[in-house]
Amino acid sequence: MFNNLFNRKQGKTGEVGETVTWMIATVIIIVILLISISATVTGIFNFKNFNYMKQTDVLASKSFFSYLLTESEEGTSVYEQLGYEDNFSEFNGELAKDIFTEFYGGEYLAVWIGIFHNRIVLPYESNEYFGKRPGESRGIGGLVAIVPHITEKIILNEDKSVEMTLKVKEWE
Amino acid sequence: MNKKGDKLISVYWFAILFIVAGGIVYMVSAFYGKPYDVRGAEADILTTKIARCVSEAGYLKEGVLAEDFKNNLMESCVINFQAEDVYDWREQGQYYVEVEFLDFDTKQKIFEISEGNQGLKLDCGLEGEGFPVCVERSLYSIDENGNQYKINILSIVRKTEKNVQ
Repeated sequence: MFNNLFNRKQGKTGEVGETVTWMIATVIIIVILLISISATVTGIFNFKNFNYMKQTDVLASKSFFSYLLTESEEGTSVYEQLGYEDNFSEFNGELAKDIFTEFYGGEYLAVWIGIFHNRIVLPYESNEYFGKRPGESRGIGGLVAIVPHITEKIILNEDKSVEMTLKVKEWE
Repeated sequence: MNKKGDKLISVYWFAILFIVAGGIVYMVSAFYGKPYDVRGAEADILTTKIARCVSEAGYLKEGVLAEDFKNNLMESCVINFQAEDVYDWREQGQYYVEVEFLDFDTKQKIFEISEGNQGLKLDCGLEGEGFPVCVERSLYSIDENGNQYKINILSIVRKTEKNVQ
């Protein structure tokens, strides 16, 4: 008789435990569903804005070509000057800054114009107008991601080229 | 468990199944029911087209500074602003483009060309999805005499009804 009573009590406790499990499961399902619905409706995952990543910039490229063709008072173009000078002079450095930093500085994370040497060690030369070339990656350790750039490179002579690098903003 | 309990569990399972299925259907319709807003890309394309029309290989294109170009921007740049014939788009005009030529050194305006629905310009700078998308960009160019120009291009696309809901 005692055993019978004990078994019935245990059976009821088991049923109560099962009901609680079902109720908790229901609450979890409803909560997950509500979170997903509200995320979709409020647009947290805003995929509908057609944010495409630029790989070229026609306006910046055209400005770059025009910049290289601009002549100083002596009649030499920026392209020629950069070919025989070690780095930027006051004329072509200031002009580059006036054009590229002013026109495109707000649109991009970084704007860099500089000299690229055809060598393995330190190919990019920093300059006083744009500083060091911005890195092509961000993050540290195992979380390094390549940051997209728009690059336009014009060969000056067999040793060096002049490069325009625009670090794209959309990925930040 | 007894038969009554089994029935109750089946009803519960079906209820959960319908709730989850209904939720998924609602999420999919809410997501795919909204259109993609491509007006920014469209304005960008328009800006690029104008830039290609005024500057070529580093120099201002021949004839850009002539009166004929100023009066026939659309024909010269092979652009048309025809939109679909819905929501009274054709009557209203859904595009506007403005090209300013400035002296690079003095920043003084030399001349300006504009085409399209000028009223759209008033909504530029206003925050909100229901307003037209404005893209303003600049370009540097020189002419064959070495004169330097700053060219500002403003492109505006409205088409709100199909891009924002």
